[in-house]
Amino acid sequence: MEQAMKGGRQAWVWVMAAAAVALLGTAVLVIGVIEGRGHLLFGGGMLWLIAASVALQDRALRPGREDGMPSGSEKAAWSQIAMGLAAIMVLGGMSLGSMQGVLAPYLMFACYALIVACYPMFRRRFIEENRRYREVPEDERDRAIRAQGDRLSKRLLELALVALAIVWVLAPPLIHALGEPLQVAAFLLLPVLAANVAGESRVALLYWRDRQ
Amino acid sequence: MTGTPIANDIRRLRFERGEMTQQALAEACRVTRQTIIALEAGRYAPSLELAFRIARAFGVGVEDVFRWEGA
Repeated sequence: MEQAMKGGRQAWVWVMAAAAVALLGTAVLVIGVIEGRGHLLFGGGMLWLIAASVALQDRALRPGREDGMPSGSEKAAWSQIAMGLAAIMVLGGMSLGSMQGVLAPYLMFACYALIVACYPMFRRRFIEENRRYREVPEDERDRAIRAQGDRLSKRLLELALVALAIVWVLAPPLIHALGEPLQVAAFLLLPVLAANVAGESRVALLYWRDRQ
Repeated sequence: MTGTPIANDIRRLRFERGEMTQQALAEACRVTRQTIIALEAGRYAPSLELAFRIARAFGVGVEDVFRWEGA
């Protein structure tokens, strides 16, 4: 009974968090439309995606058949999705013009490189945290599910590279329009994050489907 | 991670071993409880190593736990 009440309270926290992020996203979208700023429209859209992922996370992490509670690896996949979307929002916003000034290209590249390098570390840290409470934080089934997500990430990255090569050959001005070489280099790291988020989404979906 | 042609008697063996819990079996085999749930539901085919671990946990042979039910 007490656990059910606690679960209900937790569900409300998630719903409220999703609603707050969606409200913020709407506000950013409205300002973006009024001022005609691309990076605000992008940011508002990403905030809506984050709100959707938070709402889905609450739904997906509920116990399934046979009290199938989510594993640490499944929770890690959901946290990676939300963090990845937030990172894409910040970095994409920067590239679309929210960061100005002489130092902007250097700062932008540093931010991109730091986030792309640290992204896999968040997951490892999450698993290590879980190790304190669980004897086995991850096993062969988790690794098999993760491998499917990694395969999707790899395919998407390959597609992004091919698309980029085609754009580079057919419409070089589109690439140069992104800014200085350092800004272009930073922007090119965005597909790495996007492919990771897609892979984590597949992992989360496979876990969820497995528990139904 | 959908259906597998390998069926198993893990649930029966657990109950025959004094209603051994899924968590106890998971700890004995060094896997998560979610993997035991997936195995019992026939949604996951274990590796050879895990199959041997499970059989050892019950003190029986692998063929007493797992059998081929595919075409």
